[in-house]
Formats: sequence, structure tokens, C-alpha cells
Amino acid sequence: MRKRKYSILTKVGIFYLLFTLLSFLVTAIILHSEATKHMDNILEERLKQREHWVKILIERRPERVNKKDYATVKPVATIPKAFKPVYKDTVLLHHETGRKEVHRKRINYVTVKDQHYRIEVIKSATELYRFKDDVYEIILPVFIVLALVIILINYLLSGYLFAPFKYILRQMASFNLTRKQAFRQRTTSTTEFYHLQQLFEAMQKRIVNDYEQLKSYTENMSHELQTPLTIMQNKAEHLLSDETLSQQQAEKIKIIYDEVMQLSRLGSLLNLITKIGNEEFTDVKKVYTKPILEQHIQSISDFAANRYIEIKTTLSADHAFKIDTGLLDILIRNLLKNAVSYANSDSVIYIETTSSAFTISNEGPELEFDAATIFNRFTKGKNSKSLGLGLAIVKQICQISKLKISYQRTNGRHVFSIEEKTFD
Amino acid sequence: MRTTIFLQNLKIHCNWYEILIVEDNQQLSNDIAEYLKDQKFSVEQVFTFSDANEKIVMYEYDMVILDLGLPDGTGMDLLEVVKKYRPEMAVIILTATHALEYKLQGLNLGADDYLTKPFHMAELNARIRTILRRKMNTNDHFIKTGSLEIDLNAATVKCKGQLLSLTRKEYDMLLYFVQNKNRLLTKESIAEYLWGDHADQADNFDFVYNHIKNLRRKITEAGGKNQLRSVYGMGYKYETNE
Repeated sequence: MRKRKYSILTKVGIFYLLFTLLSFLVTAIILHSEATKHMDNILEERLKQREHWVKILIERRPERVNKKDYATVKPVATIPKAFKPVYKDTVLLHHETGRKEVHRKRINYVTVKDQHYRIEVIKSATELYRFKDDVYEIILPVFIVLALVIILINYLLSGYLFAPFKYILRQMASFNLTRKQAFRQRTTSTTEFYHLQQLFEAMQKRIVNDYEQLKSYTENMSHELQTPLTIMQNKAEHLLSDETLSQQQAEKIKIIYDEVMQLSRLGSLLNLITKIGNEEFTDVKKVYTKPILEQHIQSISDFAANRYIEIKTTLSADHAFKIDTGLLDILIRNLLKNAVSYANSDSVIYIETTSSAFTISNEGPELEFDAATIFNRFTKGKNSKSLGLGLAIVKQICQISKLKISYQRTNGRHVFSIEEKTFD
Repeated sequence: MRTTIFLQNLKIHCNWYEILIVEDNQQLSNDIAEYLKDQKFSVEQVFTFSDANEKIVMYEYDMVILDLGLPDGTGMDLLEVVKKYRPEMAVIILTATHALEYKLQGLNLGADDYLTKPFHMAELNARIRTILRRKMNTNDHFIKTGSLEIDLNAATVKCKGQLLSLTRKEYDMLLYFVQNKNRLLTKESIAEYLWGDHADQADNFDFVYNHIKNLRRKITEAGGKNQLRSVYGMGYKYETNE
């Protein structure tokens, strides 16, 4: 499964939002507890004051004591041992507003003129609770506004801040060894992007340099190798013309001759593989396969007929590949050659193209190797005189031309099919 | 005008062709020279760009055999010199690379043919002859050898006056032999000459034998003498004492 990808700004934004949310929460909790403590203190002071007033009233105007709506006084016989004042919150009708509101109650026992009293004073605690609510009511909208601002800035900045980055990415994507366009620097004040750009430019130069060296190496190699091979081949041919040689001597020279030819084929095929790998074939266009196939079938028909192999075709005029013409030529030649070389004598090779698919199949004996390695270099049967490079070249051409080639063994036939790769 | 045509015909009959070989590898150059001298061509050899440049500007050759990789310049530049000073001169390019772009570039610049190393001398010789014949625009287009008469324009062969029904490949093969008289042509060389890039088939050699067999049969059936002789079972020779 592929993991979803997010842009770095989105990620930073999310982390930033989470962090802000956390700090807002902590702030809210601290504010809340501080406010509660503060308001509790104030309420306690007020309630103590009221109690004090009640005590004074009991001393001086006992008849008015129970007329105050904020206090209830009851004479009691004893005071519970080690009693401490008790606070309680209750919901009562407010004497002025007439609404139900939260009140705080203080219950205490006092002794005035040797008489014990239980005094209960109350005070509205609405303000306290309103203040607590206010803490959240202020913090939450501020947080939401901040979050929106972060998201918006994120969105706007990603275009602006990341423009150089996207530019560098485009340059990387369009980098092609064979086109050799120079890297165009873009001015940026972002250190990371500046470094990235420097680094990529240096890397590109190094790759181009390596590539050039490799290319000239293969070219030199090919050139320097082929000239001596030509000399060797012709000397061997010359020697073979000498009819004073014994049959044994001639056979030995023939072996040298064969090996020289094999070596030269090997050299030029490996050179071809390198060239294909280096993507030196870049004249990619839509090429209709029918005329090319017909031409190649014509060229190879002599060989096929020699072994009583019939080539049957169903060719669609619409079938085309997007490919370099030279590569298509090599591709078709190799596939046909392969089919004819490994077909049983007196059998039929089928070549079929539809508007989208290409199939070639030949009847032949079981593979002597694992079918999965059929496109590997130097994979071949024990008795094959071939170099084992033909299908490797085919595979490589398909790879760089974005074609998909597959091999199947069905009903005693070797079936190769090629289709355009579809990207989802 | 008549004199030129006469001279040209004389050249063809007597092989008075002058060929310049531009190849930096002395051994290969000598091998080519030896083979072509044996074929009665007049040959000169140069090994560098500057020498080649000088010779081409100063003397009139019928053909230049041009190696693309020279130590002091490229064959492509030399080809431009040829086309500038000697547009009538025939050119065969020798190269070590199969690169298509060189081939196209060379042919676009006016080269007449293109041979990839390693090549067979017999093939070089056959190509030289084909090009010279085409270039010289001669009305003498018959080759007579033994009991055979080959009409190059019509691509037909008569044996003792009787027209042979040869396939295209049999005709090409016979011509290849006749152009390289008394020389061993290996099966590989024949296959490459006739089928080019399709030739490296694993089993194309008994196939060459089948074609030879048919050719021999057609010639002997018409009363001709079989002059195609197998050599060590490795190749064939067209034997003639002409």
C-alpha cells in the first residue's frame, strides 16, 4: 500500500496547529484555575464580612437578625467539636433579579454572649461562573481564528515559498543526458533551495561528464576493436584460400575465423546495448508496424522456407508504436530472428497485430532455462550458437520505449506479446 | 564526348580504376590495397587526414575508400572536401560503428555506400564494382566469364546462349562469385552479402549450401561447367583461368 504524501508546509502547519491547540489548552486550564482561586478568595472574604455583620447584629440588634435575606441564624446548644466553616454552592432565586442563580453558602458556628449560634450566610456566585465561562469563550474563538490564518498563510505561501523548489524539480524531471541542455540557475534567497540547486547542478555536470566518458569509451572500444578484428578476419580468410593447407590446419584456422566473427558480433551487440541504455535513440514518433513487419518478413522468408517454416500474418494497418524508428527496426528483426531460429522445422510462425497489441509465436521445444530469465543477457539453450543477446536487446528497447513485453508458453508455442504501457 | 566514353569503357574492361584508400591502420590499409591490386585496381594509400586532403585536391581518383576515424580529423570532413573539389568521385565509407546517424549523415553528404567493420574484402570489392559501374554510366553492361554471360542491367544470366531462370538471391550470389574470381568466399561472407543484418542466423550455412547447389544445377543443366568449388567445406571459390 502506498502511503499518502503531504507537502512539507501542510505537515508543518498541522504540527503547528497541534502545538498551538495544546498551548491554548494549557493556558486555558491555568487561567481557569487561577481565576477560580481568585474568585474563591473574594467570595470567602465577602462571606466572612457578612458573617461578621451578622455577629455584630446578634450582639446589638438581635431582633433584626433574621430579617436579612442573606443570613439565617439559629441558636444551638452545642458547637460540633473542631468545626471548620463549610462552603456550599446552591441554586437560589436571586432577591433582586428574580432569576435562579448559583449562590455560595458559608455555614459556621459562633458564640455570642455565651450563646452558640449556627450562622449561614449566602452570596451570589454568578460572577465567578461567568468569569470561568469567559475564559473559554475568549480562548476558543481566538484559537479558531489563528488556525484559519495558519491554513490560509500555508496555502498562499506554498505557492510563493516553494516556487524555486518546484522549478528545481522541473529541471530535474526534464534532465536528459542526450539533450544536454545546461542547467539554468534561478535566484532564490532560501538557503536550502540554493544549496539544492548548487548540488543538483554539480551532480548534473558530473553525470554528463561521466556519460560523455562512457560514451567515448564505448565508441573508442568499438572502433579500436573492430579494426583489428577486420584484419584478423581477412587474414584468416586469406589463409583459408591457401589450398596447400591440410584439412586439420584449415579447420583450426576456421575456428579462429569463427571466433573472430563471434567476437566482433559480441562487440557490436554490446555496443548497441550500451547505446540503447544511454538513450541515444531519441527520434521517437508514431510508427506504423505493418510495412516494417512485411519488409522484415520478406527478408527472413528465405531462412524460414529453408526449414519449411511458414510465416502466417494477420496485420492491422492501424497498429503503431511510439518509438524510435531505428529501435523498432532492431526490435522486429530480433523477434523475427528469434522466432525463426527456435521454431521447429515444418511449423508455423504466427504474427498478429491488432489496433493495440502485437503477438509473435513459434512452435518449439521446451526452454532449457527458467522462463523468467528469458530476457536476461547471455541466456540461451545449451546447443544454441547464438550469443543470447537478441531478446535482451528486445527487452531493453521495450523498456526505454515504454512498451511492455511478455513471454508465455502455451500449447507448445513460445508466445511474445508487446503492448503499450498504460499508466494509471 | 566519344573519347570519354571510350576511355571509360576501356577503364572498365581493363580495370584502370584508381582508388585512394584513406585508413589510418596501416595493416588494414595494406590488406585492402593487396586485395584490390589483385583485382587489377590501381591503388594509393594515405594514413592521415591531411595527406588525404592533399591527394584528393591534387589528383583525380575514381573512388576513395574512407575510414571515418582518422587521427587528425574525421572522415565526415574529408567527405565534404571530396564533394567540394571532386563531386564526381565515388566514396565508400568504412566505419567501426553501427550508429545509424553516421550512416545517414554519410549518405546525405554524398557517400555512395557504407561498410561496417569488420567487413569481408570480397564484399568491399563487390560494392566497389557495383558503384563504379553505376557511376561510369557505361553502355557496356555485360560480364562474360566461361560459358556465362551476365547482363547487369537486366539482371539476367545466359549460359551458352540459354537464359537461366535464377532467383534474385541466386543471381546476386553468382555475381558475387564472378566479381571475386578465384577467391575463397566463406559461407559467412556469402550469407552477410546476401542477407545483411539477417545473416547471423544460427543455421544459415547449409542454407547457403542449398543456394549453391541450386545454382550449380541450373548452370550444369544448361550445359555449363560447374566452376563453383567447395574449399575445405568452409566456403566456395569461383574458379576460372581467365
